[in-house]
Amino acid sequence: MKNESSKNQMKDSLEILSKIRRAEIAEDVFEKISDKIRDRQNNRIQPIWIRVAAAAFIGLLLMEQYIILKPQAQIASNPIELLLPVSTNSLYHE
Amino acid sequence: MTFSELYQAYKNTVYNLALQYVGNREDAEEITQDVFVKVHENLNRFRKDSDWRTWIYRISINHSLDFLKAKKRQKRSILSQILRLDNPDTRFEIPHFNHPGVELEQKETIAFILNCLNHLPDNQRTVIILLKIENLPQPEVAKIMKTSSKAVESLFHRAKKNLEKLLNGSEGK
Repeated sequence: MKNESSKNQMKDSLEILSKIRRAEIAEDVFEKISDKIRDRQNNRIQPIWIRVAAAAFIGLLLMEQYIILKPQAQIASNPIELLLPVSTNSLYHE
Repeated sequence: MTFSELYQAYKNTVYNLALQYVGNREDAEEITQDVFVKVHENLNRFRKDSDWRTWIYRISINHSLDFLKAKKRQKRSILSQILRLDNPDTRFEIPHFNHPGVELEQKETIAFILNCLNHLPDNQRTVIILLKIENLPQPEVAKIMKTSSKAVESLFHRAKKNLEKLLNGSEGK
């Protein structure tokens, strides 16, 4: 009996839901959408600037790699470096 | 189809669908705006072999569900987490029910049913909204939900059972 009544109640609930009327959207929504689209386009970074930033970053990485892996001979051949005193880091001379 | 033609053709479809999920005019308008911004952004990527209506329905459903999830997350501040911990009744309530398609005398009943609907899993809620409120035919619902007609039927059956439990459970409290 209880089962039957809850089934009826369920049927009623679904019927009530199907009676919800269609609503009309406000007229000014299209303008708001256009504004949002315009804002997004203005805030978007141009692809050319993304490429420039990427190229600069890769350039920096390559330069760092070059400095780190520079051959010792090349360093020694630098005349300024030859003038610098070389520390042996030893405290006592034997 | 141009963007403004698409808007004119589907503005009320998107708005009404969003209304069934969120239950108030302001949020439904916000969802409609975001859906059409998304449509505008993806217009060029749209595959010509699928139809606009199904595509727009899918975007609207996904966006409405995401919107509700974001709102829920917003609500769960540290304080409310402590105060409302595991209280399912307060977790899913529609904050201010303001559905322009609902008659005043049925407002309370429909708000209650939609609140119960919000306790159902996403796909069960969607199947009831599409079949019973939007009155779409079963094959179209299957197409929108990317499943078979048979799966929609069994999903609807499960959704009905769960909703029935929720309606009875809430009434008994």
